[in-house]
Amino acid sequence: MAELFLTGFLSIFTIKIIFLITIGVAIGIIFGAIPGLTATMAVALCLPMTFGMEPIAGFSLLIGLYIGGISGGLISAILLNIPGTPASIATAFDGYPMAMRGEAGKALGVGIVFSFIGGFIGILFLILLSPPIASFALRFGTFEYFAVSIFSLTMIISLSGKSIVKGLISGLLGISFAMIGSAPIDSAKRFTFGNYDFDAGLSLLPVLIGLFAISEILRTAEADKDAEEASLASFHIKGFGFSMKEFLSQKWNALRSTMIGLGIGILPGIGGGTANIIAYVAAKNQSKYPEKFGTGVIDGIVASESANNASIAGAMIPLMTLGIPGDTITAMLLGGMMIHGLHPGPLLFVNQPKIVYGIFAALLVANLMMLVLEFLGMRVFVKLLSIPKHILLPIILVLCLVGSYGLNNRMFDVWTMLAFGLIGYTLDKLKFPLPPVILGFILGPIIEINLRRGIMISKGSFVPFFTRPISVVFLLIALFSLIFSIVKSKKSS
Amino acid sequence: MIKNKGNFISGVVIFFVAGFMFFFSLGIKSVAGMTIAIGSDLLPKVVAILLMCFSAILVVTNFTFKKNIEPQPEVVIAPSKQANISQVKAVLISIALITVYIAMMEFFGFIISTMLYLFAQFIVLAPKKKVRYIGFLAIAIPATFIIYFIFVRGFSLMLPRGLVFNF
Repeated sequence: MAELFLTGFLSIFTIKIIFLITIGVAIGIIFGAIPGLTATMAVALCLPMTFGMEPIAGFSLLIGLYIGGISGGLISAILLNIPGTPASIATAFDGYPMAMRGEAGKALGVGIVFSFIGGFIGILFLILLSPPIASFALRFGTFEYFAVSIFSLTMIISLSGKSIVKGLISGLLGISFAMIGSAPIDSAKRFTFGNYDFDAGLSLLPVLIGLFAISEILRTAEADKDAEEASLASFHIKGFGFSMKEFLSQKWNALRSTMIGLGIGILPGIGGGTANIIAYVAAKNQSKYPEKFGTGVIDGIVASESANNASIAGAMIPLMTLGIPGDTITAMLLGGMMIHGLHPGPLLFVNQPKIVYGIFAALLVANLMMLVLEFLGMRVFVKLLSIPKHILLPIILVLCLVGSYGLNNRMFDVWTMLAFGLIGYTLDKLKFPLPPVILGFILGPIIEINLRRGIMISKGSFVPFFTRPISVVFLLIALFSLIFSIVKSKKSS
Repeated sequence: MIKNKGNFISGVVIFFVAGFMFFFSLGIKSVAGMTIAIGSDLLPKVVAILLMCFSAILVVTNFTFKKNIEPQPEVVIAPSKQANISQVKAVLISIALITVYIAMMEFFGFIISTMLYLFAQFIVLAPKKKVRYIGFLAIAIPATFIIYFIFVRGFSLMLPRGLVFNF
């Protein structure tokens, strides 16, 4: 493994790739810091730039965006009391009170350092856990893939949003959208209505960009434009901003929060957005002084920031080892990998170890770059917070359009993007969760092809789905998670 | 009595869309000899039926027999949101602008349509006291050229040239 790791590191240690990672982290931080812009959007916009690059260079850029995008949220959470991304909601709980007390520099320092530590430990776990999981997943056949996909879909449905019925509808809508075009195995035309553009089906990227970037732009356009702008707290950073004693007092909190972030990141469908809040609550419950939480203690920032950065590595585990994305950004990364002809999953570890370990190395470098850039460039990032939204959003929309068009050079993809922007906006308004739509879209075809292949192998029998051990275990967990969440939602209503 | 209008309407709409989906999936023809037991029409049918079931649940659970039920907080549109019709207008105009922009691109190409779109969209989204026509033009024109050159020259991407001016 050390040799593979070295190969991976060597593959990214070129001036070009290190430059791409740095640019990626910087753009990511800007997108993370500005409320209304998200890491998902940053990845969507920069994807077209990677089309012409060699795969590892392209991914290095995207990984930089991912890490920068998640950690950049802490800047506005602390200075504006508006989390730049959902991953930093809990950072604002204690970060802003500290900023109000004149300790903004300390709050930022704590946030940045523990983002780095959470991210670093998370990535180490990713590097250690992924190869054994992938080699276990090599045993998966068509029956097991069917079961794992069903499991992932039920997990995301039961975990996202308050209403299980709405989650199920969202997931089924996603599967329905994926059915447009030629069916797997026999290429029968479905829902094409005689339009040739539909024959190849809807591409993942315009659907993703529409659902998560265009709908977000429309939501931000809806915000009160004449409202008073939030005032920026002033800050001053000297060194890391905190003492060694304070650092050591947080070690267990940081470790616990990292593990929570990692664990939640692995589960499909819930990423940093949930991890930071759960880690915050856990830190509060375990604390000797829970009453101080919310008044500006560093414990709250440590919990939130180490958890959300660890969730990045968590979400990468199912993506790399099984080809199942854990959140919207990893779904975007999956789309990016497919464009380069790579199919994440256990075989990637066997066939393309250089790419796999290159991605691991890029994660480590990006995490370090995040630490360096946020300390050195804090003033620049804070300045960018004042770019007016009415200038920024239209330009982002144009970039979204360029990305959708650049995929296949056809306007059909641009129209698809717009259609899904409107669908995403409407579903969000009606409080339907969006992540199940995209997971349904990705997993629907995997479920169908493996179900049909399985039935062909077993000559028409469903029995092997329930007799093969791995398959039956995943199907049982899927069933239990669904029953558990139905019972839970009944109780809460 | 209906608890949540949004849930009711979306439930009904999805029910009918799923109905259509089921109807159209009856016409899916699997290629003979290629499939065993399960054809290409099975999953669409199953998904359509499930969608109909869940949307029906969404509609039915929205009815309540108690007459004087307290409306759920979800139902009431927040007064601040209700008050500002101009925000809803901004979204609707933005959607129209984006649609026109994409339609225009096929005829006028990327450069001209992007300049016009950016200029118009800046005006729609900017707070009234911050509308600066010359300033917006001064951003829209260079921004378009920068994006065009970065992607076309820098990343060898193709962008629509349009039928009218061909650039």
